[in-house]
Amino acid sequence: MTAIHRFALAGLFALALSAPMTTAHAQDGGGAASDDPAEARSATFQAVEGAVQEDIPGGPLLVGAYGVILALVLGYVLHLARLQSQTTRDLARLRTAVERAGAKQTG
Amino acid sequence: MTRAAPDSTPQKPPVAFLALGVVTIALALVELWVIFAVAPVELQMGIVQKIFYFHVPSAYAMYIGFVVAMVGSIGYLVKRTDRWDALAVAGAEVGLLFCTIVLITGPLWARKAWGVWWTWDPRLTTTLLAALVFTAFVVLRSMGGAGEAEKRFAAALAIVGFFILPVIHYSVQQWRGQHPTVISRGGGGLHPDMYPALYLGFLLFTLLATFLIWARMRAEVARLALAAIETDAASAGLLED
Repeated sequence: MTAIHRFALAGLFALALSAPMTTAHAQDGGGAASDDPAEARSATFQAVEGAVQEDIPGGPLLVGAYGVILALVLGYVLHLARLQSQTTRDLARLRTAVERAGAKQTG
Repeated sequence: MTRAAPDSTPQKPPVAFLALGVVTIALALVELWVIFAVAPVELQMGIVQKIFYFHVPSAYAMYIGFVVAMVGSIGYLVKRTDRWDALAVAGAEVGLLFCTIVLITGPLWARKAWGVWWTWDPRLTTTLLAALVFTAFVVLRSMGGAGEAEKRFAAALAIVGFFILPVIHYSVQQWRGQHPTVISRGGGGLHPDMYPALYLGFLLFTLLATFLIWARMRAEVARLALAAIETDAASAGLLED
């Protein structure tokens, strides 16, 4: 096992442990928002009861956000696929060139 | 510095890599179902609050990417091998991808919650600063024929960029600002039915970041090996052009 593999395993382990700890830590501090105006900001998310009424429609913003995430992730995956296929093509071209040069030298 | 002869055979993706991709896609579908079918609509912000389930895990994935970039950079500065360099490049690119997602989805949420697209809040500003530092890294490494000096400079940049992460993380607690503190220290927490979507989001983005870093690293290692073969072949006089 190489150092990079060991690092990857240790990293995954640490990540798996750290995410629940972050939220558990947040729950410990539940309802402890300060009265200081400097700290007056959203501190809770609560569920709506009954019919949903909104003054500014959030639908387009939500669709925009999810669309951006999808486009960026898919775009990056396509970029990686193109990079990989470009490397494979270049490798084949290089191999052909080296074989041709080798044959020329021996011939 | 001596370098082992690179293998010119194209490597097939390991089974674990493909399995990780399949599990990530399946988990993304489950996460969407949990977000829209299980998690309730938020009282104040309405449906736009559902951006939160991808926005926060994206920030988490950004941390993963930038930490990997820092570790890869330190590894490269110590060992000077292509694999550590590839790890740094992969971490920086993937971290920047998720940082971009954070910086785009945040304003879409803020438009509804705050009435403005952007404000110079400490967390927003420090996140933008991290994005600029790692953009510099990626641009530097994207230039053709990055030499030893560029690689070393980029590695130092990634290490400097890493130190912005704790500033981003603790900025909402230390300085005046508007960014919510729902799941940070002093936050009031979430409605119990919102937690499954958030936990799944963390898991999904951890797997997605791992998959993308792995894929990018494979591509970078192959590219570096190809460049090494090309250089060796050219210096041996095997290439005409």
